[in-house]
Amino acid sequence: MSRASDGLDSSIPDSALAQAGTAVIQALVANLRALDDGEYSAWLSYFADDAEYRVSGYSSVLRHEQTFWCASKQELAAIIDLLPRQVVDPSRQLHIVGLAGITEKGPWTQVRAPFALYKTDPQGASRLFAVGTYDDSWAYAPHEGGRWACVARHVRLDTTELGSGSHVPI
Amino acid sequence: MRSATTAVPSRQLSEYDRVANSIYTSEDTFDRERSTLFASAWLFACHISEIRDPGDFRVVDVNGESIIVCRDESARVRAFRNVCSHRGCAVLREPAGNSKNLRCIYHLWTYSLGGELIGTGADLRSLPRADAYEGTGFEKADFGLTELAADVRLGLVFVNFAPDPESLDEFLADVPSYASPVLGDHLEVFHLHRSNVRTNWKLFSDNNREGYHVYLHHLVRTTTPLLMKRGAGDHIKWRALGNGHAIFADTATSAFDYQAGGYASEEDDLTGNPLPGMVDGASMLLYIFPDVLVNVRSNVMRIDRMEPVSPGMTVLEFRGLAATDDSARERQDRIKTHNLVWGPFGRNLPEDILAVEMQWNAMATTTGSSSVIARREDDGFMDDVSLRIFYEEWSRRTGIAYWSGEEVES
Repeated sequence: MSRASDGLDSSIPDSALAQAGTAVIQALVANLRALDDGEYSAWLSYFADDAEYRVSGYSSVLRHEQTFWCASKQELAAIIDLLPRQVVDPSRQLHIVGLAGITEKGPWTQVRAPFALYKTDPQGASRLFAVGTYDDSWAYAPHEGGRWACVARHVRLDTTELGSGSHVPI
Repeated sequence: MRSATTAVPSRQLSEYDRVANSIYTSEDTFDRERSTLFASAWLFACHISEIRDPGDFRVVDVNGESIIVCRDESARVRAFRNVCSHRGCAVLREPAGNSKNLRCIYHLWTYSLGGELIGTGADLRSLPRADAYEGTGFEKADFGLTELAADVRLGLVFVNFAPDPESLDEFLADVPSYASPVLGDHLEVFHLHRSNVRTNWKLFSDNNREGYHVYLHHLVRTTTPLLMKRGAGDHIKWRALGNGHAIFADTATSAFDYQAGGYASEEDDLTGNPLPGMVDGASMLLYIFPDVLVNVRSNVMRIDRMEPVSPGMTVLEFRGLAATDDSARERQDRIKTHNLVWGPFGRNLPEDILAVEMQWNAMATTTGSSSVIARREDDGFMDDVSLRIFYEEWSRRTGIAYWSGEEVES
């Protein structure tokens, strides 16, 4: 993935740079809210066209990190299109995002945010599905009204016992 | 006992074509399984690639017990109960690692990789009375770890709780002759995840053993990649391998259509690069009684192990395997192919788990019900013959008639 691709720009106005941390964290939270609301197209719209999405977890048995999901935006869109035709878990999901930290600020801003993901079944019983950290890179898009687009999301899971798993991105 | 698999179909449903649902929910049946079937059968513990070198160990739960499987100094595979002979603490708490010895964290009792007690802790910390066991009749030689039978075939490490078990070769019957080109130590585990699933272990085993749901639960939604080109796999038959083991293997013609399944774009080719012993596009489903599935989709392998916790709780352990000599690119492709279908975020695995959880939940809240395993399609993919093979052996080993849930009449 090139930093100059997808209409994203390395130039950023001073005012936008000053607000980069806040803007990116707000975008991250709004992005996850769309996911929790089942608004998958809205969730996907936060990603740049050449964005990479990856979910991984460390295996204490294999003693290395293992990739559970690695997809382009196009592949994510295909998976989302399939959801109505799959037997999916009817539970609602809810992200609780902890204190997010900006690890690099600029036209490309990196954010790290711990999270817990709960699932609540139709009977109202809630259970913790996974905890982990979002390791995101967001880029400033001056030609799109100065919005921020996620160019890379790495979901680092602490939890690797994942129950019935999930068809839905997390 | 009459044979469930050889019974001639008649106009009336045979009793062998039913399974009493109580065998999935009954505490008594579960206890019987533990004391008979799981106490006597060879049980898969791990793949040999998880303990390649002397000192490598794995801690696994088998038949409700924590077991250490390790390579001793001479690289021999050994298995011990993970219980310290001193005060009953677990000796090892890490699920995997490499160590020169096996040391309990509590009082530092230390065992060799061969299970002999070689230290009682005091010697490690210069305690003032390091010799306090002297004169008590205590002998280190009497306090080694309890060893279990362990053996390796096809790269699979098995353990057995019986004091004098049948040989692993006897137990595996015809499995090696059909599986040896594919399974072996030329593979390694690249993926391992566990799922605590609210179901009986046999229901997940059943899910793995019948192809009917593949075409209905998955395929009606056009999400399965197991889209055998229509008619191409019709000549393939389930084959009984003895002792409850079974195989459904194809040599070339059951090509997967990832694009039609919605798994890949037209330009994204997920085929090719078959595993050693496989042909491109071929598949293999191998069931090793009682609780192991080996599922090969040409270029990637999955091995499932079921660890029964209670009648309604099972820990499923899913492994993905690839060739040890993969290039980085080949490995990347195998991981992707694996995850698309069989990973925790794959298309099929979550559907299967949701189904078997709903199944157990319904069975646990009704009494006197039974299930049907009567499909006969000349031993083809959607024939229930693999289920009947399983349950015939299950009844032989447990002494419980699967069709009634009662004692087998002698």
